[in-house]
Amino acid sequence: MNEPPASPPEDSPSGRPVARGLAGLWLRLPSLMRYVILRLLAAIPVLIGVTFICFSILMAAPGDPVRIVMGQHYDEGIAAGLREQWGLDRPFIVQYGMFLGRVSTGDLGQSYVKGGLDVAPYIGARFINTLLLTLAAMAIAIVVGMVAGIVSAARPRSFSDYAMMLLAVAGISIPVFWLGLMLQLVFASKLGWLPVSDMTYSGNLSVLWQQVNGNYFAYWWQATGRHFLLPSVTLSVVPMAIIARLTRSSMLEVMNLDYIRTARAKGLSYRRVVLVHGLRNALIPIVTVIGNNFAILLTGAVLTETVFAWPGLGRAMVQAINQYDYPIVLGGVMLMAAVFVLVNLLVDLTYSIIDPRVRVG
Amino acid sequence: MGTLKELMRNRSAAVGLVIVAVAVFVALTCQWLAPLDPVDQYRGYASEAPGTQFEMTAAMADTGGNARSGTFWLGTDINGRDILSRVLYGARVSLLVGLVATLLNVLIGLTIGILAGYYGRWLDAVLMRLTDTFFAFPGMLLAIIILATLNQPAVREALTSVTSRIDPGMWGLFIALGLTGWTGIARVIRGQVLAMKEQEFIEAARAVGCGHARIILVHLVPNCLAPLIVLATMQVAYNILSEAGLSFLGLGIQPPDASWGGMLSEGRPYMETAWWWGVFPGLALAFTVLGFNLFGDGLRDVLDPRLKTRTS
Repeated sequence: MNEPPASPPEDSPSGRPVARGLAGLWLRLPSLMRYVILRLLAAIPVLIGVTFICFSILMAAPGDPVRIVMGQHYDEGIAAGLREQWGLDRPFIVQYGMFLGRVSTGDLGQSYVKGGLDVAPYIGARFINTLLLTLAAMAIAIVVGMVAGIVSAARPRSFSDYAMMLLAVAGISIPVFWLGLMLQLVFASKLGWLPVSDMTYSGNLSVLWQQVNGNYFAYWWQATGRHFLLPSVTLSVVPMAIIARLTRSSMLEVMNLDYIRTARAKGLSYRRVVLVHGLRNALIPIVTVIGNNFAILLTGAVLTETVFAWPGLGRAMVQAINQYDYPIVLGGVMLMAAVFVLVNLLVDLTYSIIDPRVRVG
Repeated sequence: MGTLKELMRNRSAAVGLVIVAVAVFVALTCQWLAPLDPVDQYRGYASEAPGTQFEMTAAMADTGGNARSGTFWLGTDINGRDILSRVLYGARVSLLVGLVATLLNVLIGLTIGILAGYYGRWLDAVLMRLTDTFFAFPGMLLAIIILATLNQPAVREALTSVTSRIDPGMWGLFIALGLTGWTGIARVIRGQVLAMKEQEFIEAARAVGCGHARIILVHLVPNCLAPLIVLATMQVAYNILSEAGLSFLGLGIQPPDASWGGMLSEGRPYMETAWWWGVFPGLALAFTVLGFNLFGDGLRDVLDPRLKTRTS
């Protein structure tokens, strides 16, 4: 590699010899970038581990995917050809090696079931649907959860505090899919205000555009907005409850510290002390929980997507598992694990923005 | 004893304990509590609303029923099964899966956490990377993949031949949930052991000649109990919810056997016409989980308040 020549040792301000070549390049990177690169490299063994676990379980299964995919039209000759094409006749380790080899070139293979469909674009498109749903849910959860937590912490042991914390425990305990069914029953089936399922308007969009007379908001609401409301509210309840509880306990802890008393003694209003001095310092554990929950939601929206027939990755995975469509299962699991690792990295990076005392790297 | 008194004075622990006790009582006594057989189909009484009176002859019940009359307090499903009886029997499935899976979680998490924290070095590195891997694996999906594997006819037969007393779907749930929920426990226990390892009482134990096994079993494990109990209580709630979710997806307990998640899944297409089919099992589920969460909250406040930021 042609790198710019490293400066000679005598130029080094600290007097230490400066490493040349790759090592020198590495040391001249900003520490934050070095940290990010190391974390990304550390994710590789995790991804390999995740796919290996998944691969082992799938291979240990006694069922034969070829027999299941072909169903009633099973024919020994064609089946043998398919097994060879999919590499299922090779030993386990060879198959896994072939899989890793393909993945390292960005090829996730073709679906067994969906007529040779490429896996990567398919799970990519499904993942975006899940991401949109998750973002909507997380936005609701953060706003409502943090407001509830702050209101609770501002007047601890008051009626509103107890009521909100009881609601929060209930929110953690309620089965999401049941909540989804109940919301569907009330707001879609009985009241008819919102659609029961699906992600977008089922009719003709140009007709809809004429119906709303060019009103952009009405168009958006009819075409997608109203479809998002029930699923995202359903999905938001658990993280909302967790965020509310944590905001409260984190705020209460911070509000007992000396500098808060100082701020009050200076004559600042209670509201300003709570919102500016308290909240900023209570944010760190909250950000961790938001990050963790975001990752868990992204990877765990399976049940909500099933209830609302949402064309997301979770539902696609459940379908693929039931159909023995191994390439989609493996690709999806890997994508989800990668997103999980990335979100956690982002969370760690956010710390250093909120709290200058935290230095990563 | 001070701890117990403190626990009973904690309102959320007390309420939680009452709910959990009721659920356990129902699970243990459902064969006497349930007014009717949970699987029998009562012909002529399909999709009856809650509170419907019934009057039946011996021939109406599928299996050796006696002539009797009474009320379907929570209605019937489309097959003419009594919802109340099914909800009561569902408690047994939920609690059994929740407790057994949590026991497995605790065994795996405790072992890995203690080994990693106590021996450190390469063993710590290996075990923690393993934990990271399982943590990054979307939990629900791993459980689904394991269950789909275990649900195949050949495996079901093999499991039934081990013991016919436990439904093969139940075995699958034990294994799938037992293998997926231990990462949080392993991490907390490792941290606990790391902090304890350097303390004087461990050094003293070593000085008087205790072996590794004795130090771990007699000195470390008992000192990990407080966080372990708290985490395990919350894990029961999580496992019960997961069991219901998996059964809802059709992967856990198979109908006609009664389970709350399975009932929700069966009742889902009939929500508009027979809402009671989906509402009551969901309520039972939510209350049971609420009980474990409240109890866990109280336990945490009393036993180990420092866990608050970690388990939220």
